[in-house]
Amino acid sequence: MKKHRKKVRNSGTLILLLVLATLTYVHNFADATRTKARDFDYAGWQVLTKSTDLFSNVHSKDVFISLSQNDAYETNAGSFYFNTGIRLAQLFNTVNIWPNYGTCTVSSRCLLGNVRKQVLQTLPNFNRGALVTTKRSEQQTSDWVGINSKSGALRASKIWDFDEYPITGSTMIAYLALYDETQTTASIQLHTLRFVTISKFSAPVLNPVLNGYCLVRQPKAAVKINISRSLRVTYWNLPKLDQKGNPLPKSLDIRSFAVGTC
Amino acid sequence: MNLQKPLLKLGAWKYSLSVGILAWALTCTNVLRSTWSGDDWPNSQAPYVILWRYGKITFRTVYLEAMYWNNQWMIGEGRFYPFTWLETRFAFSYLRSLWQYKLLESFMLFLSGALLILIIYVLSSSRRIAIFSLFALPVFVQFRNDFDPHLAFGFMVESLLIKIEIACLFAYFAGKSAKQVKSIMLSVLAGLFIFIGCCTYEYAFLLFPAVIIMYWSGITRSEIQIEWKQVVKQRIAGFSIIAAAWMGYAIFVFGFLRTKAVAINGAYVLSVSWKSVYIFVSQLLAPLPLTNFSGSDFPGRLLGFRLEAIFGALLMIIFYTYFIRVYRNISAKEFAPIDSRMKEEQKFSRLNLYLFGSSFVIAPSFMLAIQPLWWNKASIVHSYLGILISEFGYVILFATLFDRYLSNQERARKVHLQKKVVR
Repeated sequence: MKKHRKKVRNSGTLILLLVLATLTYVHNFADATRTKARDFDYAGWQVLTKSTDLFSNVHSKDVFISLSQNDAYETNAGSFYFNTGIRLAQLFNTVNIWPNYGTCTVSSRCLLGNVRKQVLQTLPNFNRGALVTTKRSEQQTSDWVGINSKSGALRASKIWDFDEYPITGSTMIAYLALYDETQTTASIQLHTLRFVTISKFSAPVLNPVLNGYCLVRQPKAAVKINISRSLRVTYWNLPKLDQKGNPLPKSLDIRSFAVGTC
Repeated sequence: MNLQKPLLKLGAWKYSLSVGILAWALTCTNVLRSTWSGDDWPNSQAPYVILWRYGKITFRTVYLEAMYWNNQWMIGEGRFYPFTWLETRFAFSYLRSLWQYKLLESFMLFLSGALLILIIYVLSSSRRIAIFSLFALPVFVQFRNDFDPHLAFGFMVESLLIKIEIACLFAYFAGKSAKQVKSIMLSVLAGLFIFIGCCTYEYAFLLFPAVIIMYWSGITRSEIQIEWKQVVKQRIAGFSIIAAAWMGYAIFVFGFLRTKAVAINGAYVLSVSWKSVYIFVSQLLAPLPLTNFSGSDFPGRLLGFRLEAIFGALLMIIFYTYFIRVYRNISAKEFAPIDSRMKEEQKFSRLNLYLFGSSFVIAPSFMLAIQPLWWNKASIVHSYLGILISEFGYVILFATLFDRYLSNQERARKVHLQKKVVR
């Protein structure tokens, strides 16, 4: 009888081990699954760059400027090149091009500076080599940034304003527009704007609005469905006239860019 | 009818070992369920950035990218971990699919745990302690909400642990070897692995005592019986080599790189205050089981899970139930130390295990306690990457304490039986 009690006591400790191991397993399972919070953002980027024709007018050595650029995630020139085959000169963060972007507001009548001038000034900062001790010369000569930093290398390149970000947990917007290089501040040519939404099948299609202009959905043929990721791509156009019947302005300051839903 | 008898004949420890390995592997498979997390997001972009920048992904361009970042960190922060840069750049460049990378990461976690069990076995010469440690691993290895070394950060901590564990094994056999040349060669290898461990992540620097404990333990079990004066004479060269590798790293990083660094941002800037005490204690407690469980974990999460989670949990229950059943029927003889010499040294082995385990528990806690950067961040539920090292330390401490508890019980039972016979 005494022996039996001893066995139970020891087993009790091991049963505690069993319970803890099982609980920890379940916790670890849940925690591993938690890391998938960015799945929609990632899938949206993959669909945008692999399955849409948003970038059909973009060519190698063109420049993107984007508030959503982030080297910590997939919104970078490398991932863009791999997915689209278009080797941008750089996908800049807007703040890199205009360091005073946050403080230089439209209301204060502050000018950001001509976009091409800013791009050409900023690009060499992304060159490798100065701090590299191993095979420095090789890195400098074969570096795509180094090649494009040379005088006149980007003469034929277009500069695009690009952004993509989720507006809800199941809908993402993306747009692309050429910069108006005649302006002394950061403005886009409104007529070149291309706009898409990427949403989950289960989510309703939200109608975007840009600076008060309700966008017009392109015909159904333009809707692409990416079955493998269960995402739907919808293309949008700007209306020809505003609500008062006036034609839209030719250019728009990027700082006054406001996106919502109709 | 006793169903356990056939198992006993074949060696229950072998069955326990197999089931324990399965339980540990099951724990590691959870890594496969995760996606990129933490630093793995930018790391996963490395091959595409290399492709964009250099036009091709080759061994050379991947190496150049790794060295570029290593140099940047040397010059900016005064930190030196080229092995992490090399390992992650190559892993992410050639294992681009998520499942490939996750397979490597879970394997590294599995291997670091397996080597730990091997070390425990070598240090204790006790199958029982080794198997208890194996079954303790799934209990102590707990994924974290913020900085998680199990799922993310390019298997850096696992890689560090593997190198230090290999260094520990080399150090042990260097201490144990009767041949002077062999001992020195093994010491060189131990020193090399300490150095590359430190060049993987700074936490390895604080694990030096663990390597020395192994070396010392090896000396005490040396095949040659010699006097202490001779021990010192024979082993001073080996010890000096191991210490030189460690000191070499310290001088290079703390004496040279840190003094020249141009952009130290607060990480690994050291200081001490009363807050250090709180952080130290909180980090001692952080690796304990259940500390990172949130209120929503149970029972809602369990019930809301897919079948895989329930199936995994059931498997875990089966593995541990089997272990408990085998354990209940195993005689003390089955789990006794493997030779008589070890029996005499059992006490000393336990002391070594306590010291070894403590060094693993204390090192990460100490590291966080002396960094002002962490004084307002760290708590029992908020830890940093070194937590995996502490978890491993607790595995050793738990297994050793539990073994001792059982040994005392067995001794008491034996005394009781002897008294009965005398009567």
